[in-house]
Amino acid sequence: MSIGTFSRTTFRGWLGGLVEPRKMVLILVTLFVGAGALIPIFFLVWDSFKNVYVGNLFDTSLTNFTLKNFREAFADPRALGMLGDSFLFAFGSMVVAFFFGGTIAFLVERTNTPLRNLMYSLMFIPLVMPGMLKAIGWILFLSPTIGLFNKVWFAMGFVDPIFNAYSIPAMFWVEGLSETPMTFLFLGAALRAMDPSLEEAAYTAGAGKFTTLARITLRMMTPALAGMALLQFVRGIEAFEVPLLMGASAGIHVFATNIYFAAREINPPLYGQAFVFSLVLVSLALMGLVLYQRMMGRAGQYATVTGKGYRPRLLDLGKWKPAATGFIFLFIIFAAVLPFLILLYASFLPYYQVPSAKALSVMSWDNYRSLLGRSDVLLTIKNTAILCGIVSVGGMIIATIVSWIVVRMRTKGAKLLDGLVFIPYAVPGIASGFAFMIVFLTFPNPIYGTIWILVIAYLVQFMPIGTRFTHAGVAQIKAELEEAAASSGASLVTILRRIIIPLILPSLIAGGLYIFLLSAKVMSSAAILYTPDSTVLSVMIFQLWNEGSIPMVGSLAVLMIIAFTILTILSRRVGQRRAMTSGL
Amino acid sequence: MIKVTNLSKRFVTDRGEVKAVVGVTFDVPKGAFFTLLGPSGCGKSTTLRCLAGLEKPEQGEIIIGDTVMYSSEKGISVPPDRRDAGMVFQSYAIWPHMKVFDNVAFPLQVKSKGLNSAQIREKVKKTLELVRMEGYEDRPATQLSGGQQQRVAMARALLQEPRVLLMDEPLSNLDAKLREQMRVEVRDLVHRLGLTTVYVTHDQLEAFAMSTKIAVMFEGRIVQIGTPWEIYTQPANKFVAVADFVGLANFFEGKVVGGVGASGRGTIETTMGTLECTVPEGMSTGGKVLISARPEVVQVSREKPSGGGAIMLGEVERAIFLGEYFDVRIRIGAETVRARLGPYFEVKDGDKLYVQIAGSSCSVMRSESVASAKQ
Repeated sequence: MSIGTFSRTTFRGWLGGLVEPRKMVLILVTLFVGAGALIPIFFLVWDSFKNVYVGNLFDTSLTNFTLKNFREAFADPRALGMLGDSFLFAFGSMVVAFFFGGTIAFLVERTNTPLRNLMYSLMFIPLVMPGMLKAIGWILFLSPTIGLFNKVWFAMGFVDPIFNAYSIPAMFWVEGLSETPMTFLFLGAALRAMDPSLEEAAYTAGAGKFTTLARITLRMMTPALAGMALLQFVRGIEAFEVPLLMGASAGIHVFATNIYFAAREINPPLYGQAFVFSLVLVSLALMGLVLYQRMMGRAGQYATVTGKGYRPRLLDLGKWKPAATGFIFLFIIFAAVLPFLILLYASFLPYYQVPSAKALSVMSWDNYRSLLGRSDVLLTIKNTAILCGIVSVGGMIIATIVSWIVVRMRTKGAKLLDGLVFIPYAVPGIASGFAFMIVFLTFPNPIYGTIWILVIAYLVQFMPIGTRFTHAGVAQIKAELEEAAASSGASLVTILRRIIIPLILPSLIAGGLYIFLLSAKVMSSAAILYTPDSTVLSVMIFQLWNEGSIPMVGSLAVLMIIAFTILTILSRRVGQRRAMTSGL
Repeated sequence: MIKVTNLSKRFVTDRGEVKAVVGVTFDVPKGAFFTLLGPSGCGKSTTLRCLAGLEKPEQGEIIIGDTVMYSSEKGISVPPDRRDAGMVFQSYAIWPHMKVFDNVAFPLQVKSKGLNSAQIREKVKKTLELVRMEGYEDRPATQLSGGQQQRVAMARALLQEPRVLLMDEPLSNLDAKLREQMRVEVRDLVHRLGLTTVYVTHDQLEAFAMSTKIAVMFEGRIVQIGTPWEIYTQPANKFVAVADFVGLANFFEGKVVGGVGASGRGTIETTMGTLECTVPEGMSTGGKVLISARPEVVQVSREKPSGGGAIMLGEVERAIFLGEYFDVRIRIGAETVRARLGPYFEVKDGDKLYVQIAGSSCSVMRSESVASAKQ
């Protein structure tokens, strides 16, 4: 036997192994994840140090590196103001989100507030509503000229407006309200995960309620509180829609709006500056997330042997009980009910005006009728449905495969994949949208300007979110369950179909729904990537708002909210029933 | 020292109302080691938590020392931090954000008993010596093994010199070997300190090895209170649960055929032959009974033995060798009897053996109480 034949057969065997369908799937998914995570980052870094302009988007030469973009970006005196405004806005939203989310989590998990168990269902109401619509709703209350609250103020005889929607406090008020449900869910979960006997041990050791609260509960919660504060701050730095709608017209800019204007609104576009702002934003987010991971690692150390599932002792609020329930409902009113009501009101008007007898007399269904007769609206709805459907289903399929590889294979490659899939989490939508725009403008392709570029951008952007659901789901399945199926003769595909997917279906449905809603709600990368043919609902709302047709915005918003609500309820039903039958 | 009267506690769950504790009454004398023993969900932990003040019962009275801690009648409910009861939890409940020293010193830090920090330090040192954890003061709590956490939890409960010590399955998270060692250690320690202890476990060996008195609980009620010896040899005349839960037992039905005299002994005819046993009080000729005999009191021989008691010939249905003994099932007519034979008996399936049960090593219960328990 010659060495030649030996190596040839080995090579053929290796190739044969490669085209084996199951390996092909694994390799394709890994390639997609790797390319999606790394290519935009590469472009952000590379082009930040290159002289880029329309016609020269990707300079492949290994010389020509320059700091020109940085100089120009930060030479602008407004850049410094932007930094300050960004930080103030992010800090303010964090404070608002903690004030509501933290207080409500404590009331729900540790006091006898009446109706507290309703909270977990109620929190879905603000979650269903896009941040952009909250912003628009609140502008209609706080605008110095047309805001309802200011109109009431004027009617009381005052001349100067009391609220200003186009100010940093109003911006972080709305952003904070949007971030509250996440803060509540996270802190509530942390409180619930705490072994109640840690508090009970303090009581039996002679500590009273407040000593226990201060020395045990609060101290045990410190890592979770600090981690959440950091995460909220990062999200505040990345925020786009609220600053765009409420800040931009008053000259208040943050990172995301700066990128958007440099890349899309200014002519000719300042790509160099957009790259620099994106790079700084990604670096800030990455630093925050690494720090967050560290903190959560410390929190993990606090995990102890858990005892029996007794509920923790609840603080008796006594005569403050109605006030506590009132506080929770006040939040729901601020975060969802008020913005929805004013949008609903606006949707029946021919042109926007504050409520009056005259306004009531001109209300009609005309806006809804004309909306559903507009071909651009119908195209937009179709685009949005394609985008959300493919991104949610495709995203969860990719996530399931990634999680399976990461949780089961435990090889170096699997670890790498776990890291890759997390990267887009540190790339805010606006930056990743901008990076994808440059990538697809650089290489000739048929999908730029179609809805498919949005599909790819969103799939990549929401990868980390999908895997967060599936990682937990797959980790819950003991390896023996799969091994038992394999030893009964099932192939990998059969194992996936008959064992894994049925067992993690509740996570898949929950994750799919979450991504569906995010794809419909979040405008960031769409704002940069859309063309008239590939407009989606979030972008259309923004355009209608810019045109000043508030009643049209209202009617489209109302339809969106109703559709999202129905979808959420249905999916939660299915998810719960599946969860019960599968015993998870 | 502890007096619990007619204690009841309900829980409302998704599946409706659960009566966790129903009319529980018991006394624990000073210095006693009192164990609540029962299967999971029998209400033993809930009873203990009511004593600690962590659960509020609906009804009943709890007196510790001479203080009324809870009384539904008088509307008294002392909060847990003022009951002066040290508690050791199943999960140990060691605070992970504190060092060993702060975990143990906590009771004195929150309720200063007029001690300065040097005195507290000295007391912590002494208490850690008691649980053999001396020198661990500065160790972070997250770096302790399960056994060490257990000792720290004990130290914390002991440091406050509580009037009573409450322990909720404190050894159940330890591995078997350590559990056996800690059983003796914990018993000796609380005995030496003269502490009144209420202990909760589902492990009968643990209960037997540690307790001066055991209360067996089943479905929220106490079905028998007695010394470990009484619980094992004279399982309750009320519920099958005791005989069956605590160890293994052969049951067979019988009928009192006569001779119930002042001694309390009577002749009982059973499917296994005629036995002379102590019959329950108030039983007369003609009454139906259920007899339980532990496998280890069933005598087995190849030759027909002489002497009294029930002697029957049976066939070995299945013999399982377990090292210490053979676990043997012997078929006698329609009945199956379980017996334990020494490892040198060399029994195999199909062997014909004589089975003898002495009336003096059986316990007799009324049939009707058995029937009502089974419902």
